[in-house]
Amino acid sequence: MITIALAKGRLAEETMTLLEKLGIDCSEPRSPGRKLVLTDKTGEYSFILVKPSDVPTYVYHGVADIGVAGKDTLMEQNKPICEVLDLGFGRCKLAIAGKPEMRDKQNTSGSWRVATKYPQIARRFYGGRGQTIEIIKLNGSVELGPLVGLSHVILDIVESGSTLRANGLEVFEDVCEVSARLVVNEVSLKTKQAEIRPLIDRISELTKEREEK
Amino acid sequence: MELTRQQIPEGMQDVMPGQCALMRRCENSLRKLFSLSGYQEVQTPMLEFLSVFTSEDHGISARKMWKTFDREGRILTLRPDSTAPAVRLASTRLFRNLPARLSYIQSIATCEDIGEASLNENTQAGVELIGSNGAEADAEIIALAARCLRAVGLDEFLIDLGQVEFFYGLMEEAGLSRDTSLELAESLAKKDILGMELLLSRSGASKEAMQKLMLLPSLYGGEEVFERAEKLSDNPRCQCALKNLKDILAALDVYGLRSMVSIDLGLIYKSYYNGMIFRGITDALGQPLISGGRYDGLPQSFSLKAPATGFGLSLSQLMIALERKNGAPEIPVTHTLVGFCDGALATAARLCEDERSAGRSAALIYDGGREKLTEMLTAGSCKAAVWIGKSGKAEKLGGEAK
Repeated sequence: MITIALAKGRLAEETMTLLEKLGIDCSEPRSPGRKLVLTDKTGEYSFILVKPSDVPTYVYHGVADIGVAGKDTLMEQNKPICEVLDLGFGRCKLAIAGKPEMRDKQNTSGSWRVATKYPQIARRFYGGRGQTIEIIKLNGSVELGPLVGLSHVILDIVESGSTLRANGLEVFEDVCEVSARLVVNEVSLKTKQAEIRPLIDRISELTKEREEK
Repeated sequence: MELTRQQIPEGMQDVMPGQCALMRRCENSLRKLFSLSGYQEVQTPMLEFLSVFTSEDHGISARKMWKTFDREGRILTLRPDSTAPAVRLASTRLFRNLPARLSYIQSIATCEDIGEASLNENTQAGVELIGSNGAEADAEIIALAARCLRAVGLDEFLIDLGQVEFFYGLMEEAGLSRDTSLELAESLAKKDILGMELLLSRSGASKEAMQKLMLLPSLYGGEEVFERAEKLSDNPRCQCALKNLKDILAALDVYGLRSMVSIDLGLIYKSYYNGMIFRGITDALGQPLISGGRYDGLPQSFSLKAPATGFGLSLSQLMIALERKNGAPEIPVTHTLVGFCDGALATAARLCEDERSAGRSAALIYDGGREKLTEMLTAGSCKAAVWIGKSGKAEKLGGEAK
C-alpha cells in the first residue's frame, strides 16, 4: 500500500484531480468528515490530510511514501527527501517586497529587518550574498511588517501582487519560482519501486500533456 | 529547583530497561558477527581534536559538532563519527599491519538543528577494512552489512548501491567546476530534476552534457540500469565505475545477495566516499539504517597511503525500526523475588543464590513484608515470589510454579 500525504487546501484539491485522472479513487479524501486516514476503494492507496508545512515531515519520516508540497515549504525545511516532479500547479513566486521608498536602502541602513514566514530561505538568500539580516518570524499577514514599521521588507509568496499593491508595497526582487512538487521518501522510492515508479511516470506524462495544452 | 535538573538536553535520550536490553542484545549479535568475520574491536576517545573531522571538501560541518577547548586553547570535539578516528588510529599505529580489519560499537554525538526528532547521541556500530582494494573487498563489506541486518532480525532489506565515480566522470566530461559539481550533487541526492536543470543552465554546460546529466536522477532500479548507463557515456571514468559495480555484483552473487541489491547511479552524498557507496534500507524505517562505501581519500588525508572501505550502522535508528516492526520491547522483570522476616536473611540469600545458579534472576525484597511481596507478584513485577517465614521455611506465594 502507498500512503500519500496531501496538503490540506488548494494543493490537495489539485492533487486529487490529478490522481482521479489516473483512475485513483479519491472520494473518501474528497469528503473526509473527521477521519484523518482515508483509503481508496481498491485499498492500494491510503491518504492522510495534513497541514501543508507538515507534508515534508511525514514524508521524511517515511510514514507517508509520497506527498505533494509547495517548493516554498520544501526549501524552508530542506529535508533529505526526493523531489521527483514539478506538478505545474500552485505556481507563484517568492519575492522581497517593501514600501517603494525602501528600495535599495539595504546598504545604507544599520540593520536590515526582514519579516517572513520563511526564516531559513531568507537566511540563505541574503547569506548567499554575504549579507547579514535580522529575521522577524511571522506566521501570517506578513505584509503588515513594513506598514507598521516592524520590518524594512518582507520575503513572502507573491501570486498576483494585488495584496501588495492594495497595501502600497512593491516587489524589489524575486527570490525564486514556486510550484507544487511531488516528493517521495528516499527509502520508499527503492523499497516500493514497483508501485511508485509507474505512478511517478504516469503523473509525469499527465503533467507534460497538460503543459503542452 | 532549577528546571533543567529534571530534563535532558534536546536530542539526548535515556534508554529504559526493555529498550536497553534489546539494544545490548543487538550489540552483542553485531559484536559476535564482527569478531567472527575477523574484525578486531577498537575504541577511540570520546574527545578528539576538531581537525580529525574537518576537511576542506568532505569534512563534517563544525556547526554540527559539540566543541570545547583543552588547556592550551585547542578546539576539541565529542566524536561525531567513528570512521575518521578509526582511520587516524590505523594511520598512526597500524600502518605496518595492513590490511587492518577494525570494528567499533560506540556512541557518537552530533549537534543537529533543533525541532527535528533528530538524535544527537547515537550508538554507531561499524567496520572499516583498511588496506584492501577492489570490488571483492567492497563486496565483503556489503555482505557483512547484510548479515548485520539479518542478525538483528531485519530479513527484509534492500542494499541500495551506487558509484560516485560515475557522477564525477560525467562532471569531468561536461567540464564543470568542482563547486558546481558539489552543488549539483546536492540536488541529485534529492533527485531534484528542476534544481539540477537550473544549476546546469547557469553553469554553461553544453546541451549534450546537460541532457546526459539530467538522466542521472532516473538511473536507478535493477541491473537493467547498466544498459542505460553504458549508452550515456564512453568516458573511461564512467566505464570504470560501471565495471566496478558489475564486479561487486558478481562478488555479491557468491554471498547470495545479488537479488537484494538495487542500483542507483544518482546515489551520492557529501562525504569522503570516492568509489562505491551503499545504504542498507528497510521498509520499517524512512531513512537508511546503514551507510557505507569506499573512501580511499580519507587515509590519504592522514598520510596513510592505503585504500579503505567500510560501513556504519545506527543502533538508535535500528531501535526505531525494530519497534515499528515488532512493537515496543518487553519490559524485563526479575524472575524470583524473595522476602524474609527478621533473622531469615541467610536462608533467603541462599535461595537467591540457588535461583541464580539455575540461571534465573533473583533479588531480595527488604521492606513491606509478605504483603508487599504478594502485591509485587500480582502487579507482575516478578514471575515468582517466595516468602521465608520465622521457621525458616520457604513459602511460595500464589501464581504458577517456577
